[in-house]
Amino acid sequence: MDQSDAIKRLQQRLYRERKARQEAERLLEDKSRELYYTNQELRQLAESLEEKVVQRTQELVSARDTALKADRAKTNFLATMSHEIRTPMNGIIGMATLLKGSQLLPDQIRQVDTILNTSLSLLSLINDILDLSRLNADRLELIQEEFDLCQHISAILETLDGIASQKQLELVSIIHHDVPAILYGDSARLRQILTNLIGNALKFTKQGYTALRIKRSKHAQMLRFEIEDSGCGIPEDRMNDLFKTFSQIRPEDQHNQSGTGLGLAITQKLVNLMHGKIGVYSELDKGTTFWFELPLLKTEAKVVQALALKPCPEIRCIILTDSPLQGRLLFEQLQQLQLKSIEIAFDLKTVEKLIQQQTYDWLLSIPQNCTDTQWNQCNQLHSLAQRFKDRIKHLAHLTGQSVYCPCPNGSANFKHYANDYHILHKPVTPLKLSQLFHNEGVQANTQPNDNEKFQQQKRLNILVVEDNKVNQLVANGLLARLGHHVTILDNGAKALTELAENRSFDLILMDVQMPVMGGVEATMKIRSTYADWPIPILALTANVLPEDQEHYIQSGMNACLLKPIQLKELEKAIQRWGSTQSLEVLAQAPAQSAPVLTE
Amino acid sequence: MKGIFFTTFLEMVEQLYSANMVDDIIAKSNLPSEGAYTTVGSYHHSELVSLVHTLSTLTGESLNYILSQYGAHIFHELFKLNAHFFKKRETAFDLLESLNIYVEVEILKLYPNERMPSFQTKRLDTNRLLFTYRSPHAFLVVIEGFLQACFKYYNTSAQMVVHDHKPLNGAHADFEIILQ
Repeated sequence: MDQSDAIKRLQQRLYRERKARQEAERLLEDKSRELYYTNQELRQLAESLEEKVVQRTQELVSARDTALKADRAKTNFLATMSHEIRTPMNGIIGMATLLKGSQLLPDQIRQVDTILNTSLSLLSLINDILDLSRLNADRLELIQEEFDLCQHISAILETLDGIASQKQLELVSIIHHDVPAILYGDSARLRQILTNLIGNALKFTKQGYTALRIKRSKHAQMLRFEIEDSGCGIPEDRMNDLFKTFSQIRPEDQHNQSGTGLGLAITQKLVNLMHGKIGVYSELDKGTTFWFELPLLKTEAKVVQALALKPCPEIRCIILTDSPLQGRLLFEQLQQLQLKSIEIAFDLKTVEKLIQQQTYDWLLSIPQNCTDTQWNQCNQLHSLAQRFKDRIKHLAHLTGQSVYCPCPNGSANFKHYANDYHILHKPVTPLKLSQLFHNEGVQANTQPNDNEKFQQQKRLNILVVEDNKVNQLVANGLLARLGHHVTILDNGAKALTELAENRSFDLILMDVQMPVMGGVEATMKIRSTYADWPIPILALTANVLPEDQEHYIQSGMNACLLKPIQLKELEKAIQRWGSTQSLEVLAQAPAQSAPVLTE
Repeated sequence: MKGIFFTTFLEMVEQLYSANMVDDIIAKSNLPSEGAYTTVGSYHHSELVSLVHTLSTLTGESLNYILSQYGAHIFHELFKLNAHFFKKRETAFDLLESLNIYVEVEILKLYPNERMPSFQTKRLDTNRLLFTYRSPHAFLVVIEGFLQACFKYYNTSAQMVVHDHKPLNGAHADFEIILQ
C-alpha cells in the first residue's frame, strides 16, 4: 500500500467521522428542540394546573365559608330558639312551682306535678339539643379545674335520689380505696355524663339497684366509672345503635316518656371530647353496665396525692338489714374504707350473738318502711341497744327521705339507748360513711325539711330588674316564698335611678335583655358608679351559651342564673351570694370570675 | 436499525481484521449512508446485510461465522458499556432475564416509537430457561452468538434447542436453554 493510498484512506475515514459527527449534532439539535417544546408544554400544563389549584382552592374556601356561615346561623338559631323557649318556660315552671306551694286538693297536686315534670322534661330536651348541636360543631369547650371527687359524686347522687326512692331502688356509689381525692378535668361535664348514665340505669330498672363504681383504670391517668343496674338489659341487636342520635333501646321507649334518644349520643361525644373511652355490656333481664374512662388523674407522679377515702382500720361494724341486696351493697362500700371487720346480720338474734362475742364500734341498721312488724323490730332494737350499751359504741340508721323511724316517739328516742346515734340519709355515699366514722357526721345527723330551711334563711332585701311581666310575677312569687323582700323594676335605667336614692339592697337579680337599658350596661354603670359597694349582681338570663355568660361576668356580674328559674337553684344562689359571709368575701375580691350556678 | 449495531460491527471488523478492511467493506458495499455511522443514528438494516456479505466475500468466512462472531462482540460491548447494570446479575439466566428491561429503556429513551427486538424469558425449572426472541430483522444467528458468549462469560455449559417459527418478516424463535 503506497503513501497516497494511505492518505486517501485516512481522508475517507476523516470524511466518515465528520459526517457521523454532523449527523450526531443534527440529531442532538432535533432532540434538543423536541425537549424544548416538551418543556414548554409541561410549563403551560403546570401553569394551568396551578391556576386550577387556585381556582379550586377559592371554590373550597367559599364552600367552607358558606358551611361555616350556615353552621353559625344554625347555632344562633338554636341559641335564639332556646332563649325564646326558655322565657315562657320560666313562666310555666315558676307559676307551677308557686301553685304547688298553695293550698291544693290531692288531684290538683298531681296535676301541678305533671305540669312541672313535663316542663322539666321539655327543658332537658332543649338542653340536650343545644348540647348536641354544639358538640357536632366542635364548639363545646372544656374547663380544666381541680375538683373534689367525693363531694361531686355525693351532689350528683343526691339529685338523682328522688327518682331512685320513688321507684324504691337502691342507689349507691362505691369509690375504690386507691382513688385520689382531687381530680383534674371538667367536673360539670362529668356530672352531665354521670347524670345521663345513672338516670338511664334508674329508668330501665324496675327493682333492685343502680351502683356507681369508681376505680383506677389499667391505663395510667385514667379513672374508670362503672354504672351497673339490675334492669331489663339491652338486646344484642340494639347494642351497635346505642350511641347513635335518636336511638332508643326499645321501640316502645318513645311512647313511655323514656327520653329522646339524645342522652347516650351526647354522653359518648362528651367522653370522646374529654379523650376518654366508653362502652357497655349487658345481659337480658339481668342488667346492664355502662362504663367509661376519663383522664382525670393528675400527672405529677412525685406528688403524694391524698386518697378520696380516709381508711378506718380500727373500726368494727355490723350491718343489720333484712335485704341481702342492701347488705351486699353496703358491705362493698365499707370494704373500700378498709374497716377492721364487717359483719352482716339479717336479724336481731344474730346481732346479739355477734356482740356477745366482742365489742363493735358501729351498728348500721337499714329499716324498711313503717309496718307493724318493723315497729316491733324497732322496739326490739331499742331494747337491744339499751342492754348492750357498752358493747356497741355508735348506732346509725340508714334511711331514705320517705322512710320514717317507726318508734312511737320518733327516732330521737334512740339517743337514750345508744352512746351515739345518727341518721344517715340515702343515698349513702362513701363521703357520708367516711364522715360518720371520722366523727364528722354533723351533716348526716339531721336534715331540716324545706319549710324549716326557708325559715332559717335570713330575710334579704332583693332588687329584681326584669321587663317581662310574667317573669316579674315568677321572681316575686319565688323570692317571697323563700321569705325575702322583693323590689321589681322594669329596666337598667330605672334600677340606676332607684340605687341613687336607696342602696339598702342585699342582692340584685338582673335580666340581660331589657328595653331602655339592658343588664350588662346597667351592671357596668353600677360597678363604675359605686366601686366601693360590693353588691352581688346575678344575671337572670335565658342565654345558655358559655361565651355569653363569660361576657356577663366580665361586665361585673358575679354569677349567672339560668331561666327557667327553679326554686332550689334560686335558693342555692341566694344562700351563696346573699349571705353576710359572701359579702365579706366579695368585699375582699370584688367582681371576680365566678362559677355559673345552674347548668 | 440503531446506529450502535453498525458501529459495533465495524469495531469488530477492525479488531478481527484491520482498519483497512473496514474501509474496504464500506467502499464496496455501496451504502446510502457512506458508512458514516453514529451510535445514536438510525440506518436501514439492509446496509448491515450488505456489510456482512461484503466481509464474507473479502475474507472467505461463512456468513454464519461472521454473524456468530458479531453476536459475541455485541455481548462484550454491551457488558462493557453497561457494567453497572449487568454486573449485578450473578448467573447467565439472571442476565438474560433482565435483558428486555435494559433494551426497552435504552431504546425508548431516544426513540419512543421504535420497533424493537424483544427477549421474553420463562424459567421452566432451575436448570431450564425458555428464551423467546422476536425482531423486525432476521438475525437469529447473531442471537445464538450472543447467547454462547454469555454462557462463556459466566463459565456455564449449556445446551440450546432452537425452535425457529420462521415468520414471513423478521425473526421469531424459541431457545430452550438447558444448563449442563
